[in-house]
Amino acid sequence: MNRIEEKKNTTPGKAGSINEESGKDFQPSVSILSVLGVVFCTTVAAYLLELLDQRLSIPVHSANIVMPYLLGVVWSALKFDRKMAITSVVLNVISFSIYYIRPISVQQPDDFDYVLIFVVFLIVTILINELAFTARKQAEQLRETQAQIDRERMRNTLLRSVSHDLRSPLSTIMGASSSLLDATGRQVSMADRKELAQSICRESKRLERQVGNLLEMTSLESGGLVLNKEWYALDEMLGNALTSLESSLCDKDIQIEIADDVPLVFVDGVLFEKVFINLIENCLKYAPSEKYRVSISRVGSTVETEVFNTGKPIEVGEEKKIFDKFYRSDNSVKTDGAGLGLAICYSILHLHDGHIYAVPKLTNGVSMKFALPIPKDVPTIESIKE
Amino acid sequence: MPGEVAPQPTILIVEDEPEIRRFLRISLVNHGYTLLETPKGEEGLTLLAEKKPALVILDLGLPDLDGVTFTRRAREWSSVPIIVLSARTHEQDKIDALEAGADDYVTKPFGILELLARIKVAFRHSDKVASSAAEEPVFTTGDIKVDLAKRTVYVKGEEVHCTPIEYQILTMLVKNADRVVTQQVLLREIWGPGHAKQGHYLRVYVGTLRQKLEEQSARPKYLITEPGVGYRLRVIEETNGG
Repeated sequence: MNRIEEKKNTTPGKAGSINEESGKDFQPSVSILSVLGVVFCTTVAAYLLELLDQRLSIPVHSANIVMPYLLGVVWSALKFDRKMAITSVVLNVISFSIYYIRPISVQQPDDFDYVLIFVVFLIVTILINELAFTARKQAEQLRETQAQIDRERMRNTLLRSVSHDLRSPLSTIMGASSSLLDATGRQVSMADRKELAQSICRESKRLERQVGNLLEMTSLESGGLVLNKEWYALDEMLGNALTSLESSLCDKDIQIEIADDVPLVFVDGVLFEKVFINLIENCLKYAPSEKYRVSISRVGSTVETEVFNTGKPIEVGEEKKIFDKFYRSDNSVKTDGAGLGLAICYSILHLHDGHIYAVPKLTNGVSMKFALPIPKDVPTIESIKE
Repeated sequence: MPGEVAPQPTILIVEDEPEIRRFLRISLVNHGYTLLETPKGEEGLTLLAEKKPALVILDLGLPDLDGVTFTRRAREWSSVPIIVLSARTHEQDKIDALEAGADDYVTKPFGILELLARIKVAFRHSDKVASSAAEEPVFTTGDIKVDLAKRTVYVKGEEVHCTPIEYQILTMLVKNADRVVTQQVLLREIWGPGHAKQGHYLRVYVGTLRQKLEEQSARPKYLITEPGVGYRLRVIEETNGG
């Protein structure tokens, strides 16, 4: 796993894929690049020539000058597709001949030398080009396999969580309703019947919530979601969330602190309400008998909302993981849910250019904060004419 | 379950899902209503014309006729209260149905208590319209009292000052107490037809109204938002001798 990731980062795969595209779309720029390369090689060769000839008085042979060109050819063989690499060989050999046949200081190579240089360049280019190509292809395959493994794992987790989290309420519903059926005509107390009916009711609500979460995650993941953004008041959305959680909240007292200067936010209301619902639901799940507080205030150029509970703090190192899909904290083994709640919040905030995080190293409880940018054109009561 | 004492009104159910019809039948008959059922929209319209039920429960996802068309066609000649059943996330369908003339909606999946409450409200409202009785001059819900004649609002007996727009919003909700009023209707009535898309006007004013009327504006008891659709003024019967 680790090795694969490391390799992913160091293989020239990325450059390869870019070049495959650039080979098609940016031919001119690639040509310019090779011409520049040739000029560079020539310059290096010229400098080398001067160095050898004049400073060190070593007899200059064409082989010495060929070296920089060889480097250039190797480089282009590594980076470009075959056509470009061969073009660069030709360009290099031509440049070599134009420059260094005339000058008197260099022993003139004979025709055989030329052919040899050309052939060697060509072989080196094709070999390296081929090797680089294979390496790139392998990296591509590796990435593909990795992506497939990821998808597979995602699907497995999804299936597992679906089968577990959807089945457990279903089995209660089936069990309770068949017990009710069985109870007809027998002496089962009204209280017992009521209890059975209540558990059917409760479990179906749970089922509905989980199906909703799964659907939401899928639509967020697929990217086909069209945001219906409007100006909303955060306290109103919080209110809606609390209303829809009414039955699970019962009469639980939640401390709500909303600053006076909190502006409207530009979000998809239906989607964003889900953030509040999921965060509060999480409190109910992980800290059912603790105290909750929701506060909304203006912080710099953002509106920040904090959902706090006095429950067991998040373990150090877990602050980021809790936003992963299907991640379940260890102390939640007994609670239901697919571990999608916070992942959905994360995606929704991401879609709104905001961010959500768990305040790290808190010792007196759990604090989730999310922030949204305040746009410049935010409407106020003064901007709406009576 | 004790049945209603009042004469049994007939309810027409237009719903293609047999299981939903089944549980509606059991509960509604138990509450003293007489039922007509059909899985088809066209047949529903025929039944509506022939049997003249007192209320229609209509599924928006019918296979043969979509609920909005049903409502529009029914409204051409009938003023029967229509309650639509619609899936969550189909907010636009609900709005369309309400615009076409439906009275209220219930989101699937729903509990029977919710539907029974809506049915009661729809009957109450249609009675009021039928008897064309003048609006009661004083409206009360929980701690809130609105004197429509004197144009004053009281919370726990104390007069509360409302701006003209706040008062307009409140009176529209009072006239439709316990029923959903769409954003579009509120915006059109108060700001004019050109402003039907300015949902944030309402968010600002409902916000200030909540601050005046509610104990906790983020946990409203009376001014309920119907997400994506509109607002509803909840009627809370006086329990402790207010």
